[in-house]
Amino acid sequence: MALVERVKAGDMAAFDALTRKYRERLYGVVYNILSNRDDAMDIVQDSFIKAFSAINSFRGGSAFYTWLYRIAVNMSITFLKRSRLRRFFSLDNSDEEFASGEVLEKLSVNCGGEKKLLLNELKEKLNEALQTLSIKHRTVVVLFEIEGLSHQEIAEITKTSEATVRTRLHYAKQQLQSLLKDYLK
Amino acid sequence: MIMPKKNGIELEDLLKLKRAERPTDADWASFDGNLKRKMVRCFVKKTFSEKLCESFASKSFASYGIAVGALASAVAVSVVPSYLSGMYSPDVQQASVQSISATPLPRVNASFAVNEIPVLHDMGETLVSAQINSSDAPAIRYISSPVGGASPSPFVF
Repeated sequence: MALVERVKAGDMAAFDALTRKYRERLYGVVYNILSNRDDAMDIVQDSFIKAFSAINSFRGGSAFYTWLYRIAVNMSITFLKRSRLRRFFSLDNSDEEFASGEVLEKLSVNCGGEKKLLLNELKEKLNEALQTLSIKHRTVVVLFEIEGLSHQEIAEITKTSEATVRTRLHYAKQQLQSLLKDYLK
Repeated sequence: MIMPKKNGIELEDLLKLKRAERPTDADWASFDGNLKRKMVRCFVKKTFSEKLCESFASKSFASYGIAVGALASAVAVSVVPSYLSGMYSPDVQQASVQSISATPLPRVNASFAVNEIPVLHDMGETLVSAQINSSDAPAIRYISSPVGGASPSPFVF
């Protein structure tokens, strides 16, 4: 039986499995919308609880993760609207060292010893630039560029058309390019 | 601030960096603990509210009746005095007096407002005065007049 069906039947172990399966992806979305680790953790937890309590309303018309993403995105947007948080901070995480190797390589060619410093600054500038986008534009960028979802999936999550998703994405990237033009090639 | 040179990085490269911003295992352990706590809290809250609903719906018809009774009493206490005060207001009183005055009263010849009793000639009777405290006699007696309207002849006991 699928995990979702088992959760519907009240299987808590299945719910745990479902949580472990999707928590990282969900966190990625929420964190990049909110730009705050603690808030992101809270919203992801609340999203899982909401999904669990409303699991019987999931009819399977879309993929489960699309449904789950929609809950998380909506909760993030509600949270942002309520708190009006616009926090700016740089991030430090040892896991990033590994993943940023490709960018570091490019930086090392051009910037020599200052590459790590410049990388941190770039990340900080990117966060700032993302925060200047409206919530709907930021959501599309996060879902497409960071989470790697398709236009169709994003349209389902945000309940808009694919054309709207493409337009928002185009506008958002233009904005980011403009804001970060001093740092990009 | 380091003024950047053009370094060959594209926007997409930068955004890829964001994918790597993931919590550590310790963060996930904390996440699991918090999630479980929230689930329990949510479950307890749900169970409590369900039990509250059940008890209200099923067994407590009696308490429901009490609640309805209390509500009815409260309404009675608050509404009746205001209704009565409206009923006994000067306007209402005057209106009721007027309506009573307009009602035709039966015609009476004798009035007890004045301490005298008129002679009831119409009825063919004659008023007779009697001495007070005479032997077992009432103070006033009526003697029927003879039919035909003969003149009454008063006499004293």
